[in-house]
Amino acid sequence: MEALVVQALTGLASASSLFLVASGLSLIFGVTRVVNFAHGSFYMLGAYIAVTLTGVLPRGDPVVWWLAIVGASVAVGVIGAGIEMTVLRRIYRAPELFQLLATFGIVLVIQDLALMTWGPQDLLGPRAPGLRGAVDVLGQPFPVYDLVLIAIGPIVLLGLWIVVQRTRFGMLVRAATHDRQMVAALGVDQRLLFTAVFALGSCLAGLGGALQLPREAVALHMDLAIIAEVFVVVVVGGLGSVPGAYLAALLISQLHAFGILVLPEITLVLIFLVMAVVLVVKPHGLLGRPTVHAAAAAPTMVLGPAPRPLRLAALAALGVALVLPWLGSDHLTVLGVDMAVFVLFAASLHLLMGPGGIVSFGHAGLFGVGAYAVALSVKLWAAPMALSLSLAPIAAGLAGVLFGVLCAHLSGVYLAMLSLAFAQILWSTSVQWVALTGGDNGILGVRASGFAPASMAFYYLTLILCLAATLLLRRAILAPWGYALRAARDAPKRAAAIGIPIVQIQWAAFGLAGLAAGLAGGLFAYGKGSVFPTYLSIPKSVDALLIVLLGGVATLSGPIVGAIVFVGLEDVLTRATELWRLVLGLTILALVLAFPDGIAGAVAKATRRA
Amino acid sequence: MLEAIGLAKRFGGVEAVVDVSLHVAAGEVLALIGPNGAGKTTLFNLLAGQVTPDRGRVHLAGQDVTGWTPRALAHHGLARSFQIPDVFRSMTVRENLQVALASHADRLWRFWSPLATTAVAEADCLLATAELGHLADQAAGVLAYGDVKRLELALALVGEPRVVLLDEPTAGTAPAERAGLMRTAIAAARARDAALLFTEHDMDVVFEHADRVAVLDAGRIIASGTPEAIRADPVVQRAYLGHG
Repeated sequence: MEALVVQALTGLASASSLFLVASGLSLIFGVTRVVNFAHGSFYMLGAYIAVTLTGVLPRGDPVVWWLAIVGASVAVGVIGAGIEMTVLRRIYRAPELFQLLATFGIVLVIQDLALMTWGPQDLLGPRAPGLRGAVDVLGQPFPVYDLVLIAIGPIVLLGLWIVVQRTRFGMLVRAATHDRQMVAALGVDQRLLFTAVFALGSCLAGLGGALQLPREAVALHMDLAIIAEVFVVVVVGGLGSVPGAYLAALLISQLHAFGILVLPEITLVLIFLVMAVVLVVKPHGLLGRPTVHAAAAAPTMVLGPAPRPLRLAALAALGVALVLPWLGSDHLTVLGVDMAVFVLFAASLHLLMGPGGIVSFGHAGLFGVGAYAVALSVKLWAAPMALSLSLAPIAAGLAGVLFGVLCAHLSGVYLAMLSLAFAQILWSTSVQWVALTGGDNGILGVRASGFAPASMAFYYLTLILCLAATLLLRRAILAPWGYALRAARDAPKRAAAIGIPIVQIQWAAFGLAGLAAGLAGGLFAYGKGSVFPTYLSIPKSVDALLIVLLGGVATLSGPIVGAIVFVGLEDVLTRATELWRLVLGLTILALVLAFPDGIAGAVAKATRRA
Repeated sequence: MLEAIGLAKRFGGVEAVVDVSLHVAAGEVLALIGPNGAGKTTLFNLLAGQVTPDRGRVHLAGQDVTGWTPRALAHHGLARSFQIPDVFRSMTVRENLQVALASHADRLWRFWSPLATTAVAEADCLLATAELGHLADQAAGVLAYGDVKRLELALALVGEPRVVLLDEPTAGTAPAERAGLMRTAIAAARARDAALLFTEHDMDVVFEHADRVAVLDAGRIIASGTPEAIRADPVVQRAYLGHG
């Protein structure tokens, strides 16, 4: 009994910091409609800056310590405002996903800047002066600092509630959260409002990070570690709802605290499962309200034959691909395999995102199912390559259909978040079911005799399979089924009125995307000779999103161009510089700002104009 | 061909449609008029399955189709256009019709043969009917408003419908264009022996083209009859003048 109370209190303390970060993200999303991936980075920056400030300032004085914490939070707010004004402000009109891409670019840049500033080793900050001890709770020791944290959550909630409900600023925030166009129509200076909200949101994330100082070491992986959980909290609570964020933070933290006691192996799965259930039952979260969506005004291009320069480039690329292994460089051969695999992986995501208009944040989930299907069939049954490479697409295809059935009734950001949850469930399983998957150590020795990763045989096998599968997807997009999928995206009401079975057509899209992503994942497993949970992780999903968006959603060649450029760029960067994340991040930002239609889209536009 | 019996729909506290009964025969042209907010679009949505009625039945070609989905109704011979044009903007004008034709012919589950070679002749025939032949390869997203209305009409004619519902087919087009558009629609419906039900604000269009006129006010049918009878009906005059 006593242990349970202490566990519940620990959960409450965690809920407070989770709430601080999540409320900021929720406010930012509500007003600007930007899903800010960099929010975890702000949290991390808050913690790092707090370490520095507490180190510079005189120690031992509680007032100084708390000033340092607040100072760190304000500093992050200023950084957030700066980023909003230099980057995000230019892309509010861009499609939702470009904004996401830009914020992921910011994640990469901040990661490397933090590495340069604070170094790779974990840092420990000073504990809060005067709050170091423990108090007696029902005979169990409980840290005083955690009691303070428990109080901070509701205090901030109350403060935010007063600001949002009782001030003019808050009124604008509420109005913008409910109907953004209305606020613009009323003549409010949106630029100022957006910057202010972004600053406030970043400030809260920074505070959340700084307050973690006495509880955990500050490390470079804090950003992505928290962002997935924060997304869950924000979505479960309802996007844009601050009280919802608190409720969800409580729910998730208690789930965590007690899950560890009862079923330590599946705590992560449990959290994402809760999110999936909430979204299936309440598509707008616990306290979220449907928002008035601005009509999608982005002109969508008519699919046509590729312009001449692109066709020539495709022929040239195919020529290079055919002779690549004869150049005698294992490195190039392996790189070629990666490119082929990523072309197919990206093409499968493009099927959903482009013609389907369905944004998946969890596409790596399907890729990983393919990879693990291969690895497990090899490990458990010593399956031959032909069998395991058939199982991979089948398993991922089934996973895709299941996923489609669960989330076809959602749209926009909520669908994206459910897909994220879906991938995270698979990822957690791969991490925590150690007996089957080897956990973080992965499964090694995924080999087939005669098809060594850098061998010519494996290279050509991969090239042929990926090329054929990509061309089949392309064929399906140009067939009546693909047009029906686009019809459902362009005008759902009209599509239903002419008799298109929208839901079934979309399920098929998930299934096909699963088949293709699974094959890509299976080939990737053989190409690397091993599989790891990272194959199912968020960064892998973001890779696919990056490729599709860089290449351009509105063109069929987009994912192909995007994959080749991305894999090549990553290879060059990782070998050329330690700071490849910084360069990649800045490249992404430059591309997003310069080519809102993607590379292939820009080429198509330029040739059409000529 | 299409019959509504005692249809009713309430949204919160608002009674949008109250006990509406109407009937359109094959080859007949019925105009539905009424002031803004009279419930015309709701009635259309009830007839075409976008909204489920609280009470009442809908019969289509002798079959009770109450509560059917828009998709099922489409396959049973009901076609409609939307007041706010809703076409497939990322496709060419011809592709819009090709995908609709493929849907009616149950050919959507084809993953191999390209749409470009599917139902080209039928699509071009419908485009000629709607006088859109010269724009066949244009992107639907960049059409002029009047041409979007024509495309809506062409889409509503796909698959030899038994009943065509046109929600303000000429709204937003130039006055000179309206009569032509309406004549095209009526000729196409008559040629197919389809029942045509349309809403319209332009009274010249209504009185010139309709066989019968039904007047909707505050969710009820207050009058119904030939154009001449409706024009002379004091109840109708009061409803219109009363709403100013």
